[in-house]
Formats: sequence, structure tokens, C-alpha cells
Amino acid sequence: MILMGVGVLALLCLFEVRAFYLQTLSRDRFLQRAKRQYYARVVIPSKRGRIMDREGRVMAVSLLVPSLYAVPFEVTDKGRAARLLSEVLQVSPSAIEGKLSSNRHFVWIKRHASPQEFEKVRELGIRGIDAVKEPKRFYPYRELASPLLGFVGVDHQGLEGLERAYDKWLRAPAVEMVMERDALGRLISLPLEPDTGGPWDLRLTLDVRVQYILEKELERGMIEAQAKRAVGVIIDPFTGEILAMASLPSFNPNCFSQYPPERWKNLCTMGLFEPGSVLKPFLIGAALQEGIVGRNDVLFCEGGRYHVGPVTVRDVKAYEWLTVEEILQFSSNIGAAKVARAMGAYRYYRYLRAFGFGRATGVGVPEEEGILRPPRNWTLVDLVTLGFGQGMVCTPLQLAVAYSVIANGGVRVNPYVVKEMVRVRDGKRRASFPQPGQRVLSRETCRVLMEMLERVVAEGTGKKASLEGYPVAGKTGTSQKYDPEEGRYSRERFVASFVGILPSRRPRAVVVIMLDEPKRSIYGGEVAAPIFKGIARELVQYWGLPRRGKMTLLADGRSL
Amino acid sequence: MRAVLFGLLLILSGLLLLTVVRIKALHLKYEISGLQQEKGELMRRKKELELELALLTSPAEIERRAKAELGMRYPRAHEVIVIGVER
Repeated sequence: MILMGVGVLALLCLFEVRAFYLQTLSRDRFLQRAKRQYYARVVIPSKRGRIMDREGRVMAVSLLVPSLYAVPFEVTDKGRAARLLSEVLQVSPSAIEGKLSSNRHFVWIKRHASPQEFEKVRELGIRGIDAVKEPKRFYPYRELASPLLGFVGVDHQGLEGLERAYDKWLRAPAVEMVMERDALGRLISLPLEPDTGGPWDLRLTLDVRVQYILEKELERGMIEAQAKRAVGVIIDPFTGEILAMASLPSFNPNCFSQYPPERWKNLCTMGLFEPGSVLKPFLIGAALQEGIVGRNDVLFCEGGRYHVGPVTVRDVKAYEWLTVEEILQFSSNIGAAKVARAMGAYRYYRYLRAFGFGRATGVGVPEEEGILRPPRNWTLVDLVTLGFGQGMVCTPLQLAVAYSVIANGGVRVNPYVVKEMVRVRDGKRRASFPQPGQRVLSRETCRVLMEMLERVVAEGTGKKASLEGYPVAGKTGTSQKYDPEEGRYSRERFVASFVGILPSRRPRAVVVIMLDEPKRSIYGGEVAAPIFKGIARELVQYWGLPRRGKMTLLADGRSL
Repeated sequence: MRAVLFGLLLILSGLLLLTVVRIKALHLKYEISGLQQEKGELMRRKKELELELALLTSPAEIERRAKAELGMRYPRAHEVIVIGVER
């Protein structure tokens, strides 16, 4: 009986010691083990909002796709594995074998593999080869608006364009979370994701259809003119909304690395060009506004050659006497030079700044400010050459903004490209609204200027932009490019341009077309104006703008 | 004695209730987990369909198919007549 009592006591003591060991001495270790059993670490991959056009058409979207990886020490027959994988993935076996022979615990075999590749690799059943789901960005419209949209890197971070400028809004970083699981390893109830703020969807002011029309006509014109590059911007002159923005040749953002980096650049905001004669309407507008000249005042244009200090200003044709209106109509450099002299450096500079030259537009994507030197540094030659748009540089977007002033009755607009941001999690919205800017010209001056620009298209250098049935205003431009190696303006390299307002009564759009180094003809009226016409012809149909007093029928009697 | 039995019954009932509630909660968690996974799957499918829609309705694709499959083209200059011209 005593022995039995001692035995029970000893057993109890043993239990106590074991309990003490488990509960006190090994507490942390077993707690960890239990936690590992009950909980699992789950990585929620980084998310990225969509980019859509103004109608909600998806221009960029992220999907989870398989990325193949290897745990090298688990792959037994590396040679065979490399050979099998190379057949599926179309990569050299030696490259894969090199990865499989590495000392690392984890190597990528192929990131962002196609679903077919993933299935085939899975069927191979090679031990040590597996896949994880990673987000990949898709751009369904391929080259369309690619320099504006930009692209993301393999780790889903914005590298160029809007993807980069709005990265902090578009991107929600990957989140690692601890979640409860049952005895079979199944996750019990996914917890709510932590509030990381993003991602947000971007809704642009862009219209995919308008963008397509712009790019199609611009590409056709660029090929016909044998130009090096082509740039186009279409903007709503009243709101500042950018409807289309193209920079050619562009690239396919789905495989951006296959293209030279210079194609990634958005020349509409990053390209600097000397505007040439498309700047003349601002000079004439300012001079009319200041009462320096009147519409019908006559100036002597020196028979085509005008000496100012050491330089000779030339016109394409030898004009004698031209009215101010005709100076614009025939794009006389000498006439513009004389108006600029009458205007004076400080006054002209003040107007150019007010039109938006030499300052950022604030459009929200990376942009150049352009170069407009302060007037205290101008010589007389600088003043007269600035009269016809040489001696300063601006971006095509700045030109679009400046022409919007004329089109909307005198107010500078602030352009923008992101119409709205919508938070994916809860639908919270942050909208952009047109910001009324500074008044630059009076309504009356703009009306007169618009009539002058209508005549440029109807009877002047811009005839090839005229569109039957619709009033169009515009101005042609041909500027010499500065050659930094020779230290003077090139005689072979030019920028041909046309800026049009469609239609000129109750305008819907300002269209800027620029061709860099065209070969077929150097004149904006010859190579850029027809591009505008092609765009305008399709836009009036797309927008359903009413014709004025004319009807076009197809030969079989149907209306166009 | 009766009071002790009543107390034990009460405790057992409480434990039973607690067990039922916990099991119910666990089932709900499984259900939520399943629904969340389903939601994730549907969201993924929606994005795939959006992508497919954008690919199929892109103006370039429509123009290509109109030309290739329907034989359509833009009217040539001589096929357009302007009538009723007035100033």
C-alpha cells in the first residue's frame, strides 16, 4: 500500500516536472510551433489601378500571371530539367542549366510566363520547379498613346509616363499578412486587407477613338512626308482637357524593352521645337490688343529682303505692301518682324508669357518649360526673329494651350490629362475640374484674329487644311532647326507644323501637328496641313458636327 | 444535492452552447473565406474580360477586321459627290 502510494506520488512528481518543462522552460519554443501550425503567412501581391479613357475604356490593366521559379538543390537531374524546360520556354538549355546550377536557394526561371507555358511546365512535373502568381501589366491598345501612358517594370513599379507620374496613386505595395488555418492547412477566413490607401484607377480626359484618328493620320502623314518624327496634340480649348496626344514613332508598352529608349519619350510635353510662323498669331493678337496695328493697316514688306543689323530677313515670295491680315495670310516674316519692332521687347515678352510660353503648363506628366529668354537679354535681331517664331523653343502642348486662348475668346486654360481618380477599395473619387486661367486677349481681339486665321486656311498658306462644309481656322509654320555643331541654323533640317481650330465657330478642338525633318517638302502648309484635314474630316463625323449649307453624298446616293 | 445537479446541468448547458456558437462561427469563417476567394476569382475574371473587350473593340482591330473580313474600305475621292453647295 505504501509502495503504491510512493509510486503514485513519484508519477505525479514526474507529471509535474514534465508540465514544468513544457509550460515554463520550453514555453516559447512550443508556442512558436503552435503558432506555425495555426497561422500562415500569406503575401498579397502588389496591386495596380487601371488606366481608362474618358469613356471608361481600359487602356492599362494588371492581371495575375504565373512566374516560374526553381529551388536548385531540389532539382536532381539538372541537365534533363534544363532540356525539357528550354523546349517549353524557347530559351537555350545552357542558360537554364546555369540557373539550376547556382548555389542560391531560389532562382527565377521565367517571370510572367504565359498560361500555356505554365500548364506545360506543370505537366512536366519536375521536382524543384514551381510557380507563383505575380501581377503583370497589359496595354490592350498596344502602341496607342504609349508615350503618354508609359509602362511599368517587372516589379510592377511605374517607369515612364503616367505610370511613373501617378505611381503613388496607381500602386498599392505587396502586403504580407498572418492568417488562421485549420488542421488540413486550409485558410480560415481571409482577413480584411489593411488600408494602404491605394490603388486608385485613373480616368483620363483622352478619348481612344480621337487618339486613334490622330495617330492614324499622323503616321500616314509622317510616312508621306518622309519625316523623322511626328507629334500631335488635340485639346478642348474651353476646358483644357487633352483629348489626344501622340508622339511617333512610338512603341508597344507590352514589350517596351524591344524599342530604343528615345521612342519612350512623350514629345508633346518633352519635345522642344522652335515654333516658327505658328507663333505669328500671338504677335499679331498682342499688337491688335495693344492698338499698335489695325487689321487693315498696311506695311511695306521690302520686296522680300529686309536687313536688320547683320542679318537679312527673307520672305518666301517678294511682297511689297501687305495688310496686317495679309501678313498672317501669306506668313510674311518681314511683316511680322516690323510688327515685333513696333511692339517692343518687353511688351511682346509679357504677352508670350501670358500665352504660356517659357513656363510649365502643369499638365501633371513630366514636361519641359521651354526656353524664352527674358527681354533684357534680347538684341534687335532677337526681337525681330522672335516675331516669326525663331529664337525660342516650346513644347507642342504649350502651342495647343496658346491657340486655345484664341479659340475660347481670350482666356488661358490649364491643360490636364487625368479627369478623375477612383479608389478601388471604396469608390472614393477625386475629380479634376477645368481651372479658369488668366485673360490674355479681349473677346473682340480673338474674334478678329479668328477671322484672320480662317482666311489663312481659306485663301492663304493653309489651303490644304480646308475642310468642305466646315469653317476652319489655322496657321502654318516652317522653322529652321538650330544646328549646335555648326553653331547656326541648318539649311537642310526643318520643322513643319500646322495648328488648326475645328470648327472656327464654336470650336471643339485645337489640333497641333508638327513634323520633324520632313524630306518631301519642308513647308507646314504642304505636309502638316493635309494631316490636319484628314483628322478634321474624321472628327466631324465622330462628333456629329453639323455641316454648313452643304451635303456630301456617296456616288450611290447615300450620305456620308 | 438537487442544487448541485442543477448547477452541473447549467454548466454543461453553457459549455454546449459555447461549443455550438464556436462551431457556427467556424463555419461562417469558412463560408466567408470561400466567398472572398470567389470574389477574388470573379474580380480576376472581370479584369480578363475587360482586357478582352478592349482588345476586340480597339479601333485598329475593328478597322482591320472590317477590311479583312467584310471587304470594307474608305470611299475614294471619285466616289464622293458634293451637292447643294451654297455660300
